[in-house]
Amino acid sequence: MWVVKRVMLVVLALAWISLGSVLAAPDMLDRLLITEEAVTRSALLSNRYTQMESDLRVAQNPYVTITDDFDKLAENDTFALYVNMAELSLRIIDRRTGYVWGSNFFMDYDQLDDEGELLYPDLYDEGDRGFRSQAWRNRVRSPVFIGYYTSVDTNPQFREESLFLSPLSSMTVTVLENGFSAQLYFAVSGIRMTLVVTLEEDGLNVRIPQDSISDGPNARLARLSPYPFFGAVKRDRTPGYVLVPDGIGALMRFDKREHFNNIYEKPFYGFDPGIARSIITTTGYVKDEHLLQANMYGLVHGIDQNALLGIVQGGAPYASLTVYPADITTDFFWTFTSFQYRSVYRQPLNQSQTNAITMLQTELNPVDLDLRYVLLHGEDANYVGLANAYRADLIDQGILDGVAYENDAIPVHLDVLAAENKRALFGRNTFVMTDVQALGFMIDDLKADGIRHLVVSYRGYGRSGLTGSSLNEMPALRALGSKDAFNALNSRDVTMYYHVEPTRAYVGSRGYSPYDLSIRRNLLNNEGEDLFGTWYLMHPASSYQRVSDMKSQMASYGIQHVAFDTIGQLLYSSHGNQPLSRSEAIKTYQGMLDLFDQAAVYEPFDYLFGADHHFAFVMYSSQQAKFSDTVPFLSYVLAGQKPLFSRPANFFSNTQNELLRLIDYNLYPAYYLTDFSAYLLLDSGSADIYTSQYAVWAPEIKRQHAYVNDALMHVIGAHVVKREVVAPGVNLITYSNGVIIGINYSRHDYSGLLDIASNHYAIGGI
Amino acid sequence: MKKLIIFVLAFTLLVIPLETKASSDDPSVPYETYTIGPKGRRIKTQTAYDPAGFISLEIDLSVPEALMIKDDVIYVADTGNQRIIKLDLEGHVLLEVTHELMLSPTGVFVDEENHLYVADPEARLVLVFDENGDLLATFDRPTEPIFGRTSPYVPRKIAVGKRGNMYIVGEGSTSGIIQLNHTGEFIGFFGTNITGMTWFQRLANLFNVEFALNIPTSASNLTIDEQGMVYTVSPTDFKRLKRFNIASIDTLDNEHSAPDLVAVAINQIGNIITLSSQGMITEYDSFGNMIFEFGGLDSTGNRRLGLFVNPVDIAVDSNHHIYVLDRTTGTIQAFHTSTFTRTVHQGLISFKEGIYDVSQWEDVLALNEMFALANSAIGQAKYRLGIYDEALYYYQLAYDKTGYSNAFWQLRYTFLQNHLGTVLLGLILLLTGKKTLKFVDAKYQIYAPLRRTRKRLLEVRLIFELSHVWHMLRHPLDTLYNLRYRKQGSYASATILYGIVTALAVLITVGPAFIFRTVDIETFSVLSHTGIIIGLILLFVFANYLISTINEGEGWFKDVYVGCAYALAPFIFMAVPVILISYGLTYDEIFIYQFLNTFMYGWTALYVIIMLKEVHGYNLRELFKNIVLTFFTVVLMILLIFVVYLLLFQVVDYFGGLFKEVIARVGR
Repeated sequence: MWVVKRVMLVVLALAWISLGSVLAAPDMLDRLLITEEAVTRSALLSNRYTQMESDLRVAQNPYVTITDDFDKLAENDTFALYVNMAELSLRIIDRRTGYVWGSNFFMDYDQLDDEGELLYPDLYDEGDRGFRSQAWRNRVRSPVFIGYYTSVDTNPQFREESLFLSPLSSMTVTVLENGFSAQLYFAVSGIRMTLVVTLEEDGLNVRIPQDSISDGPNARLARLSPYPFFGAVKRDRTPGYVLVPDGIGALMRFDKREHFNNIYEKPFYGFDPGIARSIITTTGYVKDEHLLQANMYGLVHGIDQNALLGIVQGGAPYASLTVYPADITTDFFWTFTSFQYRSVYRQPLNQSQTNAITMLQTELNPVDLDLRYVLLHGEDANYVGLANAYRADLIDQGILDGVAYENDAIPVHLDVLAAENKRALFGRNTFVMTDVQALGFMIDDLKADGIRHLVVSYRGYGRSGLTGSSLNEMPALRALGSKDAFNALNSRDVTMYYHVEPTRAYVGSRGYSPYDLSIRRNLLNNEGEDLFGTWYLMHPASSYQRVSDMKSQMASYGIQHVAFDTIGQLLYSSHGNQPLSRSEAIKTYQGMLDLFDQAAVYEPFDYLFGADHHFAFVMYSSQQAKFSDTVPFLSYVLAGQKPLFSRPANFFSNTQNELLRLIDYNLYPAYYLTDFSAYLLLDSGSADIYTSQYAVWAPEIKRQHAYVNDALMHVIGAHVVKREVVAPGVNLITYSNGVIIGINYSRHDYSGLLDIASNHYAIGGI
Repeated sequence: MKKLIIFVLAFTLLVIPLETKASSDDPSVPYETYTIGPKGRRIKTQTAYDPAGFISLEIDLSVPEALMIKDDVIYVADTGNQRIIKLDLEGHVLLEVTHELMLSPTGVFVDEENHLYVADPEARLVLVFDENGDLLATFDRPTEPIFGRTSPYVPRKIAVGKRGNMYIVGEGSTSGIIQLNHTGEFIGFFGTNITGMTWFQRLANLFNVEFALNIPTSASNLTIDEQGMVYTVSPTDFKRLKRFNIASIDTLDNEHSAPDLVAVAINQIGNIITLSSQGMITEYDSFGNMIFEFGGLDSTGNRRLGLFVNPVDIAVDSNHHIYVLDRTTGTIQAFHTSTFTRTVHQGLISFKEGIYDVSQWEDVLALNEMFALANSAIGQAKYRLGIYDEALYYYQLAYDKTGYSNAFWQLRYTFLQNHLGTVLLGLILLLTGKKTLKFVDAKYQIYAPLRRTRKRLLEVRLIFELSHVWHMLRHPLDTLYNLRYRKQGSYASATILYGIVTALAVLITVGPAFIFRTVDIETFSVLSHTGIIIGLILLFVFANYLISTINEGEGWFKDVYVGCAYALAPFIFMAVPVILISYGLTYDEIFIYQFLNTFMYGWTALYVIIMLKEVHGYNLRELFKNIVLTFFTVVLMILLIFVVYLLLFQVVDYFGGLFKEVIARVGR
């Protein structure tokens, strides 16, 4: 009898223990997520989310036709190129669909006949303003539109010219095997250049070699835009959208919405701080907008019908993207890239910068203009197809290796702060936030709870902690651990990165000379400020030198992998005695990545997409009023190729919503962690880190990882083939391996192909 | 917690286009969100309110001026279209109110009976409509004589209390808010803004010069809460946000708020939310402590989601979501509470209900370890639970000195209760011991070796000189005489004393107990503090010497230098005891600390004055003249140094600019 009693007791005890652990786990979770609620309809319909495709009309563009003025100049299996030799305008017919793309359009749709009746009533829309101005007509016809400066020595004046502004302009055309080459002469300014247009297997290629450009006698070329009206559509005549790589990606749909109040214009890779632009003022807590992350844009004419992927193959560091919505100056939506050859800059004459003159740079920027139009059709004619086409291009260019990322579960990124410093009674005091032993404990703890793959980036391990230290402040802070401890850590079964910030030289940090700093065109240093203090931008060549010098010292600690901060998000030219263009800076940074076995980057532009891990991946667009949608374009370009990690999830303000977004966008979670409380960081250079203690976050990390992993583990290495918004806030994402992930951001349960509970996800097709 | 140091909000950056992005940055919103951390610091926090898109309107609004939400129904004053629109939260039009008398509605309010009050400055009327939009009453200019014949009646904004009392913000109504009862009778002016006098005006008053009178600014907007408290925002320099009780007394302790406030709203839990014309939205708890601040204007014209062009009014729905009316774009933008904000609000609700739930605030702290309100709230909860040592800890984290003082009082009380006997016993033992030893000494000379040592030490010249500082305390005149005429002081001894004074001056700034300390130790710079003290001492001594040489003063430089050092004796001997005593005091006994401080500095000042009189042999009139001139010289010398610095800077800048322009123009 006593045996039965004993067994019962044991069973009861076990039940009690397991019940206790079950109850204990959700306790923390419940408390954290006590008031988690899904977003409302008005939010789902805002440009923070992707909208439903409601306009499924068949795309027609009756303003772009192949008339008798066009001659067929080249053709291949998929396309035929027609050129109007009188004005070098283009028509490309996609033989797969019969759709015609053109570099300009029919402009006489509002012409009246003798009786005052519309000549083309079918082409006229209420409120059209037409093209009455000859200057505008010339501009639309012109293959290249240029801007230049006159009176450069005293007071540079900006002027614009189309090829047909003066009857004296000329062009000499040579027909090539698959296109043409034309020498253009702009008579007013006297500027000359050679335009080469060729038909390729996947579309069209437009080039203007730098050595073919010559300035006029009194004119200096400032910028030019080739075929600015390529792919233009009138008002809402053609369904579709423009895709801009603004942040993660945004759409501007071709409709008549009132919020098209101005044009969209941004330089690729952000403004160049090396060009000394005039004074910028900001007020309040408003942050800068997102940047154009990649050298491309997309046009979709008819959803799932026709699409154009414009890739700026050459000259992207000096190019910008412009979208003119309809009703802003013309009746058309037109999207183009323009290339900056020269800029004016502000040359201050005194220290307080109250007195300045405007000057024009003398030499041309290194822009070897090479623009590719890849034409897509059918299933590929949407932002997902554009992402896949762009990925193929990146693989062609050698930026991506095309090898799928493989793993059995998704990794988690831990951004760990080693040490910081703050003011003390005498000088500054460096204090440890996470030493090597504590980091080891975190790794053990997470591994014990089933998170198999950890990607750690360890920051602030130098002598004086994270901020305010010099770039090559090795050896590491003694208090963190011995060399052996570091070596032991680095030989563990985790991907250990060491954070390096190669662009900032803090005022007061050791070991810098003026030659280490980048210089703006007006010969001033490029300065910025953070919570620690003022810093200067370093010259990329000097950064490279210091990073490569640091390598051997790092090796003695067993450091093989480096995570580069900032260089993925900041591209600048340098002037003065050691001039370095933006294009050369790109090469320098790419070389810096190659110095190490493995490298990770934070929020990179396309030229660093080849890095092994991407941290703090951009998740939003700038949400300008003219955007209709935010789409996960960039993450879909890289999905399946590289592991992409989100910004630290401990700073999420709506955790559940953001976790769904991670799954939707195919991003892996990340956390910013310390061993000690973030309270200690008050008054330090990291005072903006307001929660980071591992002990607080450990349960959430485990829970969130499990939540995201349960969805994304099925699609590791696969790419997205289709993403459909089936109801506001309900997205179905189909991967190349057949798995379908359904995301429901809304407040209502969804049932359809998949049943998805409100504020939750579902998986199908496993 | 109460006196928060809040910095100027709108700051302008010149030529620093580089923005550093922190790891904690939330890229989903175009603005940063701040809260108050320890030491009153403005710290970053999770996004408190997310942009949730625009309310999709079926109609177009033309220059709308006012927004009100009651029971989750939106009322908009569509001013340009001379109508009031009633909408649900999805934007469906429920009712459109127009009337021929309504010309330019700029203020709306809906009372408990769902009567709609409209302020119309063009018609100079307050119009009242029933639930169906039928006109019930109009109120025009009050006829009571106390309203005044010249007082303008141009109603712009309106709020209505429980008994139908109307509070009307009028254009140019500088006497205050016009208060009418439900029949339209004028009750009085309410919540007048106080005017301040400038320094110049005070001076003019002193000399009886007639000066233009300061006219108080009229409030720009108002609202009323369920208790009948009236909240106003005014374009004043200070106290921009006020909360008036029924007796028109401001009950809100809120000194600092964003400038240019245009609207105020109260949410379900009594939190105050203000909107500024700069698009800054600030949430305060019901005590006026700032909780969140975020928002901004879009200066680029790109109209990013979450930013405004011309925000004019703000309202809150039952879920604490915020709605902002933009006059230029004619849109209503919604902002939804984030999870973090809901957690904070939940904590505040419990607090109001008297539930001191530590775990709730620990959740807030998990999400933001620096959140001052949470630390303070936990401190308060622990205090209520009687865990005073932990309360002390959390109060200190929050830099809540009042709370800290209270907790410390309790701890001191317990300590005294437990140990008072021991302490008294120790004191008695000490005293009797001393007496006994003295008695024994008188008989057996046990102190003799000590006396010999003392004598030997005093034979060392420097120590002998220094020992005078002790005599100075009780016999200042004798000591000064000895110093001067018997040459019993030297540069060396004075310099040592100055060194001690400087060290003590630093110590008394950073040394006192937490509640009495006015500087932040972590950002306190010893070097600059030391520099300033030494500089001031030298400046004073030098200036006084200069003045006395032309004013028949008898003292040489050395006399002033040495005399001044010894005159600081009271400070030298009192500084450390004052610091030590501060560790035993709470806010209740602050007068002891303040008295000791005043006494110490007063005594020191007195000795310095005596010193000047003695050293220079002045009579009282000469002494007064000397002191005034000395201070004047100190100020002049500081000015001189400043002017020379500026001029030098200009010269360098001029030649540098010349050189740079030549290089820029010729060198290309």
